[in-house]
Amino acid sequence: MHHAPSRLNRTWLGITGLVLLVLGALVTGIATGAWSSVLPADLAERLPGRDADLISGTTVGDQSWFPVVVGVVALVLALASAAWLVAQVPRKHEAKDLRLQSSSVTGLTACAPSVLTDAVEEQARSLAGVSGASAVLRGSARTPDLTLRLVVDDRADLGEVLREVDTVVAASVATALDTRLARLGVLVDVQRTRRTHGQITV
Amino acid sequence: MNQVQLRPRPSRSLTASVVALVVLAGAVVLTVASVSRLVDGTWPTWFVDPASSLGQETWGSTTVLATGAVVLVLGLLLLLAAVVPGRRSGAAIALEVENAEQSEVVLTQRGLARLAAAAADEVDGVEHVDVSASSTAVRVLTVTSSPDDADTVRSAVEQAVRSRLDVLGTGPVRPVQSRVRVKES
Repeated sequence: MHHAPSRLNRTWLGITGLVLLVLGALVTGIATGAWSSVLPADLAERLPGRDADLISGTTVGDQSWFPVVVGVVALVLALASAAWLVAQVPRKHEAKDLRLQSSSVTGLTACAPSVLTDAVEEQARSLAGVSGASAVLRGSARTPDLTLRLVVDDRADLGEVLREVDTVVAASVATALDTRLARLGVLVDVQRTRRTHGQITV
Repeated sequence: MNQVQLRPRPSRSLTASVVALVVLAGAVVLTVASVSRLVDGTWPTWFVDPASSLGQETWGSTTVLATGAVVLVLGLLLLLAAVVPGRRSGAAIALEVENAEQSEVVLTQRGLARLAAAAADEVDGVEHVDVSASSTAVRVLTVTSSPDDADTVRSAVEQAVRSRLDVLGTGPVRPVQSRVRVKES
């Protein structure tokens, strides 16, 4: 029903993973002395030895530009990671107001998607075996994309419910918008039916 | 149009949130330390002390080696999380619709298990049902108290579950595997 930023997550996880992998391999290689046997001698000589201090006696940290560079890089990283976190909030990507007029000369007719989705939810809940429904309408009035989440009882005739979703619910939306749906998505969840225990005496 | 798949592959939202939080925390610490250095002229002690104690370690020390190994493994895990597609959840139902150009109907994994459990629970002789639904099959473990009827109960449960999962009359949406266990009296 909701949109998750899968591509964004995988891209940034890949970049972060690659950076950590290279960094980890570099540090482990220096710590074990493996690079000296793997890399060419002139390149290996540039790497610190195993007995060298982790932070050598350089004075880079004392330079006036150093905190500015560190601060700017850290700020960019902080903003980027905050934006990445905000992107995790699931989004519906619901349609904007549907414009139903054929020509603006004779007037404008706009309809909020919630008007349709409220009606769809109520109609879906009235189907036999359906105990809950929520709907999202995406796209436009010409290419409506309806996604419906249904909660059905575990003894419901699921096939019949789905056929009625098409012939009753989707048909009503198609009639209201005067066009076939571009896409119909139905996500079905099942709810345990409450069982009551009684006694009879024969 | 921004279509939302009802059977998406894992979006790695949890891993992404954890990594983003860790990077954010580290970046905020560095930003505050840098601003403090620019304002006061010296790096704050809470930043310098750990950094200088770490700086005294040699490249060949166990701490550096262990840190490097942990970073290496972490990088590999994150790279795998990014590359491995993961399995789609839920069962697709091939419903042909009249009122839409395209359709996608999905029964959730939990819904699949609940439907199967409800069907199995209705069979006579069943004491307890344990159902697990995976992306390849629905596994039903039935417990019965009558050893003589164990086979009958098993096949009846399998039949009932198959029938319930045969949503469109074209066969069950997932293969069904049924086992029975006789309850010790």
